[in-house]
Amino acid sequence: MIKTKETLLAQVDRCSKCGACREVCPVFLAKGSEPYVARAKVQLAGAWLDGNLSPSRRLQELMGYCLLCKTCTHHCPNGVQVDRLVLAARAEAGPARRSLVRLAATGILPHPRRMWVAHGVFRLTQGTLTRLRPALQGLPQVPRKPFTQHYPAVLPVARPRRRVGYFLGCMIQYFWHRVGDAAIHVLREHDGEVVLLPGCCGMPAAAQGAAGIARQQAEMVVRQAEQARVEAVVTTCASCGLALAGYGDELSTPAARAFSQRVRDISAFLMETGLNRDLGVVETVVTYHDPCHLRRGQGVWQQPREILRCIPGVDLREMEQPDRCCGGSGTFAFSHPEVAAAIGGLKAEMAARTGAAVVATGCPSCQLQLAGVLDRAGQAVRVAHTVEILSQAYAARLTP
Amino acid sequence: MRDVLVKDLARLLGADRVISQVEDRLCYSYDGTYKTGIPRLVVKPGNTEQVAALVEFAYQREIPLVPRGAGTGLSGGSVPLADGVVVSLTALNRVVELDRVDMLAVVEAGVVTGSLHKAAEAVRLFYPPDPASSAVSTIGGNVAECAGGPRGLKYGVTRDYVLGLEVVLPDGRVINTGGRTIKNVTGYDLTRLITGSEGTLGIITRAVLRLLPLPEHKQTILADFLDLNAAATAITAILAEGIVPAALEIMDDVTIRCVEKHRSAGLPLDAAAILLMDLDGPRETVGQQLNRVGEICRRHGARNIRVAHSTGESAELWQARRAVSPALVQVKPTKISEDATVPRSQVPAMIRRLKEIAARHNLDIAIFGHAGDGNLHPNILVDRRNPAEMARAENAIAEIFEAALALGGTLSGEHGIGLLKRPYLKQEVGSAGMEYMTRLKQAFDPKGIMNPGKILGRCASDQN
Ligand SMILES: Cc1cc2nc3c(=O)[nH]c(=O)nc-3n(C[C@H](O)[C@H](O)[C@H](O)COP(=O)(O)OP(=O)(O)OC[C@H]3O[C@@H](n4cnc5c(N)ncnc54)[C@H](O)[C@@H]3O)c2cc1C
Ligand code: SF4
Ligand code: SF4
Repeated sequence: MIKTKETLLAQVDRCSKCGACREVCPVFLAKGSEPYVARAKVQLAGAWLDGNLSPSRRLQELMGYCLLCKTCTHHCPNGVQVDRLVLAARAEAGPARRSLVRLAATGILPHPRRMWVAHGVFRLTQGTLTRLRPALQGLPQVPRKPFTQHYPAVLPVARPRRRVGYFLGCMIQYFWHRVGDAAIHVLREHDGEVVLLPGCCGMPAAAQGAAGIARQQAEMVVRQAEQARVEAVVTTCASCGLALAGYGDELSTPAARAFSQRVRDISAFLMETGLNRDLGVVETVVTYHDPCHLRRGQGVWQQPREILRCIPGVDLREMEQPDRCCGGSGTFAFSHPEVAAAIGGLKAEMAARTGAAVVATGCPSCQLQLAGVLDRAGQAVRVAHTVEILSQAYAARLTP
Repeated sequence: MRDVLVKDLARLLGADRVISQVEDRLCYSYDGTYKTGIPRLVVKPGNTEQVAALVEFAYQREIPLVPRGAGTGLSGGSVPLADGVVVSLTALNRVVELDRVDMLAVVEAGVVTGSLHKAAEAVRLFYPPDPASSAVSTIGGNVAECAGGPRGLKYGVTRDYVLGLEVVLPDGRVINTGGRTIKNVTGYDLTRLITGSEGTLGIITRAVLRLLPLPEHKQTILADFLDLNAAATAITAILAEGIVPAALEIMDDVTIRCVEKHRSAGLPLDAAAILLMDLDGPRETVGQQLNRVGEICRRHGARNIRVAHSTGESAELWQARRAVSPALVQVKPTKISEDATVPRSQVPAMIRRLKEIAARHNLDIAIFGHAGDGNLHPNILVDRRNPAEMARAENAIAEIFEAALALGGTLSGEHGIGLLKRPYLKQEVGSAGMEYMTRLKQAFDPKGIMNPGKILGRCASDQN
């Protein structure tokens, strides 16, 4: 803890209080007051770490107003890692807030059995819940069974070139089967023998300040991947990918380090191992939204665009500020619906202005948010994961 | 006590415009300096009437007020001293008018400078003052500090563009100074007096700003020199030929090495100085001037000259300048940015003295800034958690000011006096100057409620 306190204080000291983050922090731009900007979070964290501010409900509330989108860090002349300070403050500085979102992230997602029950309840009440919580609007009809029950644990291919672990994460396992189906289709198009890796990456728990639970999740995921003996661990969720890639530093064990080095976002994996360019035509106008945890989190932004440009018929049109956060940020859209809607509304406008029929992206959490805000803005624009469009292109080749 | 005040102010402005929780107040305790002070309360008035009502209320009860824009100031101007109530003006954020015939803009004090730049450029007009903080700083803060920027050499500073102001005086009355004309000599020039007054004479709520036609074209050129004097004579020669660059920035060897060590921008490590210049105007003229500037630099010993041929390439060259700040924090976490300014002819002498001061106090001082107008920014690199080093820095600062004054310069070119330079003011303006400034302040603000303790005087509760 002393060590971590030092490293955190070093981040605080890097902040020159220049205020440059006021130009870009989406939460600040939506709220318009200093306490919501990155600089304020850094100074609050500093006051707390220095013992000049005792943990309080209000401190937690202010720390809650963060998308963990890294926009500030990217723009900051001094590269202050504000999200790290926010997470640390959430974890250490306060009385636990009891809320449904926190309960879900820490008490349900990490436990497959509880999740299974919750999932069942959710499925039956999806209509009502969506009316109560507009943030759920973009979610597809919730499937009856978890994703892993639709497939064998290992999916063989005729001439396997590599054995790939596909880390599903909660979003694919319970909600976005169409993304999972597409990912498997695409991986098999690349002669990958696919091993399904279920589990929760721990990011939702960490974002809620439950660092201990997040750690346990991490240990479990690493162990599971070791047993599966895979060459690479592929993700279709930007936040899962970022969390997995961070296990090495987080757990500091050789196994975790080796694991994290093998983690790839699916678009990066495909470009790195050689994209199968035997593609059919998909005639459509696409614009691409950069998930924060993909572009700033993992440095992946060219690969999905390259993939889309390879597909015959796809007309890729960039929107203004494609890397501006959509406001979803996992659980943020549920805990802060108004701010999330304001940030998302801007995104919907920027996306729609390109005239695209499809917004492609690389994270189910963004998909959920984008589909919701586009719908509320009255825009008939579809949202799809990059691999869904790619899978469509492979399928188009087969049907004459 | 605070609770009663909260209630009264809430009645006056609306409950959502009064901020009282300590966590929130802490977020108004700082600016771009290392000074801090937690305000007693923060209020966010929404229009001039509310500002006036607030000030009248504060006047009656003698409550000190601290006007605040974006909080990017570099002299501690918006850092409250004990018991101050911060008046955040960012809710006054409308561009009220852009007049293409009279070529002026009417804006509220909380408008972000950069958004005025964009709004003006959209109609082919140009608001030249460009503090490096313009993407977030407010017009109110710019006027209150008389902000400058790289374009100062050719286009002047904020005061050269303020035609008129709407100001809430310390007793709550609202006046309009100046007007909408370039020429105006009616009575004392209160507009110029309020401009640069750092929130000590009143709260600016609105400004009428002069605009220019947007220059047709702009191009960037970068030259490096093995000798500092050579760079300085090149500057003089360029201006002597009648070419006034839109920006003329210098970086010294310490700065260059910091940038290269930590950020690698392709700068030559053995250079003693780098000059970075923008030329603007009609496309043809810019092209011709660019060639001449290149020639002059070469004639004066420039080794390499890089010319940007596109906006993208310009941005690349400016990247080196932008890399300075991030590179410096890699060396030491705390930067004390000074802006002592000297006549242009004394720039090399000043740089030499700064280097002597750095050596004498065993400090790292990186020097860069606006060489064209003599406004250098020596940055002392320290660790605020190291008291011995901070003490050495204090001594160095005193010597920097002495050096600037000895060379015929001034304590501050654009950051203002605020809290940080208050102890040195008398050295520059003298006893009579101090006395008249103090009388002026008293005439405006007899109860001393308007940003007390800044620029002038000391107040009893001054603990910072
Ligand atoms: C990275 C960086 C780069 C900078 N570059 C430059 C530069 O190139 N040139 C330059 O000149 N400055 C520069 N500055 C300093 C600073 O940005 C300017 O002084 C700017 O004008 C401050 O504006 P603000 O809105 O942040 O004001 P604040 O910092 O909030 O306030 C500054 C002063 O103005 C007063 N004030 C604010 N609003 C009002 C109002 N409406 N009425 C009356 N008083 C008011 C405050 O009381 C305070 O005294 C830089 C700062 C940073 C952090
Ligand atoms: S941009 Fe970075 S250094 Fe500047 S105030 Fe924000 S966090 Fe601090
Ligand atoms: S991570 Fe995003 S939301 Fe959080 S402070 Fe930084 S820019 Fe703002």
